[in-house]
Amino acid sequence: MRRRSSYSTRPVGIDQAVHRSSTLDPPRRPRRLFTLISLLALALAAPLLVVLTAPLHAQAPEWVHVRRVILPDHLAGTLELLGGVLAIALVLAVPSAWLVATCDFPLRRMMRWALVMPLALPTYISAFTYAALLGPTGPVSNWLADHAGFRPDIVDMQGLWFVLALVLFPYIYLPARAAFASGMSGQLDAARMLGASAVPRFRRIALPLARPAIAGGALLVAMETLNDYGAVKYYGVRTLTTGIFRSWAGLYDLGSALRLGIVLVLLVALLLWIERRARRGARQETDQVPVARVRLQGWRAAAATGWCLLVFGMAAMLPIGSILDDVRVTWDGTMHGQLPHALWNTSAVAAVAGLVTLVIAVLFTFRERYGRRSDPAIRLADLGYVIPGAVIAIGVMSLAGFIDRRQWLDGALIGSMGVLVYAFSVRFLAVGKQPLQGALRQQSTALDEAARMLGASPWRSFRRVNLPLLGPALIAAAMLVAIDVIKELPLTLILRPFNFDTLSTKAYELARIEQLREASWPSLMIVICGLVPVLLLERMLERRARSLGGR
Amino acid sequence: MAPLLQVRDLRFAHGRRSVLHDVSLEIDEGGVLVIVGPSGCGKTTLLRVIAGLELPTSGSVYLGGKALCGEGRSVPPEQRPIGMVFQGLALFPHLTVAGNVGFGLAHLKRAEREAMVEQELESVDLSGLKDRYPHQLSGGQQQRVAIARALARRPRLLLMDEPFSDLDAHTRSAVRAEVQRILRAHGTAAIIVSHDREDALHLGDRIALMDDGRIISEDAADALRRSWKTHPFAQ
Repeated sequence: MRRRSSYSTRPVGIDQAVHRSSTLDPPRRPRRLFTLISLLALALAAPLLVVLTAPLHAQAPEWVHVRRVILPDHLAGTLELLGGVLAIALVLAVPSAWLVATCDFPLRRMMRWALVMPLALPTYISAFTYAALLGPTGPVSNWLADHAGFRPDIVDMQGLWFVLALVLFPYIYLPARAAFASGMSGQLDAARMLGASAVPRFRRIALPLARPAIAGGALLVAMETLNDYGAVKYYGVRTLTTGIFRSWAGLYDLGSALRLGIVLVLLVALLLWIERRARRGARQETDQVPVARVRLQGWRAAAATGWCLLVFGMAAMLPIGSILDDVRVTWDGTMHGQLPHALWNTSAVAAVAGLVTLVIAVLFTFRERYGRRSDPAIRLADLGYVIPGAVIAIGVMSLAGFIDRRQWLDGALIGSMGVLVYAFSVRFLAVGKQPLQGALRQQSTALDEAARMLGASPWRSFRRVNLPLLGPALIAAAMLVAIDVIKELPLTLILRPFNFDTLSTKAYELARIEQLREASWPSLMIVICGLVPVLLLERMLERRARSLGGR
Repeated sequence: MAPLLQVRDLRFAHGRRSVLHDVSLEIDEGGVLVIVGPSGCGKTTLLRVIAGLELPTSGSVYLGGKALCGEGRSVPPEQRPIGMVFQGLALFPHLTVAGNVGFGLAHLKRAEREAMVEQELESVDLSGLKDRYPHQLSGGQQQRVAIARALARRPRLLLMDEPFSDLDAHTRSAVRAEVQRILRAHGTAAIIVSHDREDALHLGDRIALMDDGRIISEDAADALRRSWKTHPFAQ
């Protein structure tokens, strides 16, 4: 039998280890890397800090006018828009989620994913499409004027409520459906055994129990509404986001735009607080037993199918069908010269921003996995996703202007691709981190500890053990960021280099000059890109439902 | 001869909850100490503190006369000459058997590392399985890979946390005999944590009984076997 002395290497001793750590191999201590990561996180949080501290450093010559005229008007418009969109989105989402999760009716399985499809449509594209159909000169309006004697015009505040709610309601539908399907089966069965019919079961049991999930979804709807620029601008609705553009591009007063940004950030904070309160005292959803679905028959089954088809038709089929029809009509090549350029720009910026954001997200998840305490700078940087793109854009603009004025980087930051990519990373860092964090949570910490007990430094352990196991999550993270970059409009409009068009800016510019049919080409490409994560998400959720025993 | 490992007055707390209370123990070069006790009594925490994966509230750990923690210093786990076999084994699923065993030998040149891995796998009778992935192995084979991986770096002390908990009764006794053989062959000192008295009686030179964060008794295994009927450990 071999003895230890027969081995060719000496045992690892403490003296040897201490010597190595202090001289030969300094990266074994991750402190320096952690410091670098904290600095990187601060760099990503900088635009938000610039906005929040604007009164201390940015002069605002037009602020008196903005505060007296623009702010009240645009704040009122924002609140009215939020209220209308949320109300309609709730009406569309909650009954649909209840039906799909707890009832059996014809086409239910198709409706599971079909009702998620509107997420693939950026709000501005749906808004342009609806304006083309139901605007004052749209074909549907013309037909109604000829045959019914009235001419509808969707291009106003109420029309925008409807259009935004149709696109955004899946944000509520998805968590509500998950809550109804597997979070409360025991309570629903108990209510049934106590004689409660479907409506009281829904109203008295399901709705209160699903409140946290619905509140979370409603928060996302509100955030997306606040972030929107293309649709509100086209529909002539005044919101804080359009106010920021007006102050910056109309009054040439970046200081006032930054101050409006503070108001928008405060509104976001208020919404987050309301959502927290809505969750307070709510029961933790630990019940993972799938709910037993009730088979609907007769008129009830027809009504359920009809309702879901109506929602799906208005939210996805109508706009997508209209885009496809416009693409068919403009097939003659009028767009062919302009599109490849925008397509190339979009692909390039999405690929670079996706990769850069992925690298940053990997570093931050490493820090969170191996650090003993969480890093406040990273938590601050994570806020980028809840801050509207226009606010981030003016924060970045202000920061880049500050650096350019001092000629630190040859005065070449504003209007550069680098700044655009940086702003995308600020905005979509959380999107990139989420899949990585989810996949890392699946990895036992015993793997990290085993690697460390085998002499690996934290970074080597992360690189050799955690990172290879992340595999598909890395691809998903880069892809989700890239797709969000492709869809993003307000940030791109403010920060893009001169004469630099992407698919989203092209669609917006064409719609702005009323070339709605031509706007269908870039719109279609954006929608195709948007469908990828939506279908992946739905497939993932379905797999999870199957693993829990549902169908 | 001075003991290899000295643990003195070790305390550890999770927030306000005290987990270890003034734990002291010693182990000689080549000795095998089995710590037995009910779930939640602090056995695993004690191993993790010795390994460096947790920092103690107070107390000290010395290995070969050098302080691993205490005296105002703490050597990080990757720099301690200690190997560990985890409960659940924690084999790297994306690496082959050879990749797992060679993971801790990154400081060696490739040829040297491969020779070491080969040697180590031979010592645990797994030579023919070096290109397999962990999921392609039986429970007993996985166990031997985990031990080979921990021993490949020539640690002075091996820690094993419930090493047989995932095995059925038949495999368990076979693997236990195998572990005993490997430990004797390497001459490495070991601390094995278990809640199973059979493990303790078969593997340990010394057996410590732990409860509520304290070592309540410690005996030579032979003495314990002799006084088996009257010893509290048997009750």
